[in-house]
Amino acid sequence: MDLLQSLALGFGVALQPINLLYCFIGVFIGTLVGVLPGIGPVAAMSLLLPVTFTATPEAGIIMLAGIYYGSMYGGSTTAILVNIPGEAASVVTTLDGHQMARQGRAGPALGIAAMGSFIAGTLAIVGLMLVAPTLARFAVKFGPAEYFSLMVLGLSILTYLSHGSLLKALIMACFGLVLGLVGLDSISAVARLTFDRMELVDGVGLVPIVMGLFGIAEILVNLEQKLKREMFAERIKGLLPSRQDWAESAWPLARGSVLGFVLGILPGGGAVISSFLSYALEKRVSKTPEKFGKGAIAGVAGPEAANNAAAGSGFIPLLTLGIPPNVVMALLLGAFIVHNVQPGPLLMTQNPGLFWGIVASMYIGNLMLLVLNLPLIGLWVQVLKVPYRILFPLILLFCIIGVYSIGSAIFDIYVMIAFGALGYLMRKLGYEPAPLVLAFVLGPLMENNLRKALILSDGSFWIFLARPISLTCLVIALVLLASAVLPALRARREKIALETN
Amino acid sequence: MRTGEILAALFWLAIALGVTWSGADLGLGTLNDPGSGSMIFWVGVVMTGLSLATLIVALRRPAAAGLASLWHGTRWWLVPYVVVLLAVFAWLLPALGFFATTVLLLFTLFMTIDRQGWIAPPLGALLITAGAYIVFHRWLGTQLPAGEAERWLGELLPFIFGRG
Repeated sequence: MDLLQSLALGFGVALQPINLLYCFIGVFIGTLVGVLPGIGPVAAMSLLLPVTFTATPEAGIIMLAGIYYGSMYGGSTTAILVNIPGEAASVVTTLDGHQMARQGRAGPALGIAAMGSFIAGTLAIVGLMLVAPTLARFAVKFGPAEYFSLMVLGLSILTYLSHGSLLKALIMACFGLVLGLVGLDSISAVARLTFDRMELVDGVGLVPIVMGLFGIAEILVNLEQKLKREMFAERIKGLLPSRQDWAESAWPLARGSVLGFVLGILPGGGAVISSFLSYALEKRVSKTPEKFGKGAIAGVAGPEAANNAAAGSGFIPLLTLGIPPNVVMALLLGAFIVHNVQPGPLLMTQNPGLFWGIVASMYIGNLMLLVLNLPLIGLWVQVLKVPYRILFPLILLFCIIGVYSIGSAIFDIYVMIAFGALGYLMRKLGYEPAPLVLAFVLGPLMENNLRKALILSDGSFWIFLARPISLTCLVIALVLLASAVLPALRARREKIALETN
Repeated sequence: MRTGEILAALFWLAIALGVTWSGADLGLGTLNDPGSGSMIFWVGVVMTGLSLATLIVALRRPAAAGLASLWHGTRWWLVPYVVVLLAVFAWLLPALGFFATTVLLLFTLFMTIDRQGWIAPPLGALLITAGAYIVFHRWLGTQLPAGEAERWLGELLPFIFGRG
């Protein structure tokens, strides 16, 4: 009953006309950036973060959340029709989705992707609704030692799953931690690593860094390679999957939803890895694995369900623990803080309207996405025809406006350009930007909790080992990092990393 | 690639040593009262170790294709070109304002990268900038830098360019 009352409160918030409008704008832009290769949800959310400043916290967060799960829907369209994933979580959809399109079955492929996304997205929200309150009650008992160790675990998982060299991923995480500590020390108010520049006293901005590493660097890589797109030209018809399609997709949808939900909660996990693991799982359990890669509908249904379920459950660690499990959630954490709201175990009791409003808006957003994706396929196809030579100056322009509008500072544009160039070189040399960004966000939180824990324990590190949750997190983190050094496990890690990247 | 790996490792080593030194300079404090530089120092130490390990791995790798192989068959020159254009854009922005600088940037990009005709670049640059200006500044209330050109346009076309 309590849950239903909370949900009713949430729908009361989400159904307010202004929140509905923001939700629609969010899922629409999310679908658009999902469709367009070269701009992902992280860049789009950074760009629109300043737009939420004038809105209420509910409206702003609802819109940003809509961009994220909307992009999961949109990414499949490009993957199926053009064989280019609109965003990373749709990479695996290209394998069978595009093959289906080539066999004249683009309609059912798009249809099952949209409906599978809707079903999995909705199931994930139900899961979020049921798991989040329990986890939040549990998390109230967390102290600084637990928080510190949990963040160490999150960073370790993300580093472990990064593509290529573990050493490079760890360097990136360290650099991110240092960048996060630039500015005034929150305890002693001493200026750190500011090089006597006033612009750095408040620290380096998250948005210029993210826009540089993910927006500008992506443009530079694409410009250098000259993108070629082979548009699937045949007219798309029959979006509704047949009875047999549904029969072949039902279990992959169910398995993908559960897998995505579980992996989405884990710090460092998320939509990308869950879509790959779902594909691998479906291929393994299938009676006809030879059909995978040649247009098997299960190869579309499972991963699409998994990435949408993961997008929904990724909100759980952020909303209940205040810890972002991935870069997208790190940006959302930034949006919460901008609105003077601290996500965490107390959010549900101190700000129930916001918490349940976000949950309810996801139900509505998923419904909007189903409506947007199926009848508007023709529009998205037209959008895909925009040449990159026109698209990239537009993305550049949006990045500049997004970065400048946050602090009205030209300095932030220079920071974005510098990180764009750095991000480009990092990609060339095999350095992943994701651990850097997550560490950047977690850096100040980690330092704060580490110092608090040491003060509480009178300078003893034993506090991290004496508490069971903290000890468990640290042991798992250690095992993960150590396992990457063992030859057999290293080969397995490289295989997973290769698949997820 | 090996040269690139070595250069990158040296770059991170230099950063790591700088971070370690800065941390020590800020003060390490004590274990029961860690100082402002404590975390920075220890992260710097770890980063130094990791950079050294990366350097050793790179040095032990057999010399394969050189650094140039990373850019073989690509339009690499566009990368520094766009970065420099953006830096010039940021430098001009306070003086010329958003509108004039953006038109210039877009016009240059359209003219020099995969150009399509002579009319589309200036027209596209003008229309896109005007559209972005109206949507972001007039409708969404986003702060954009105003320069001399925009003040002049504000007097000419106050409906669009007047500061709201």
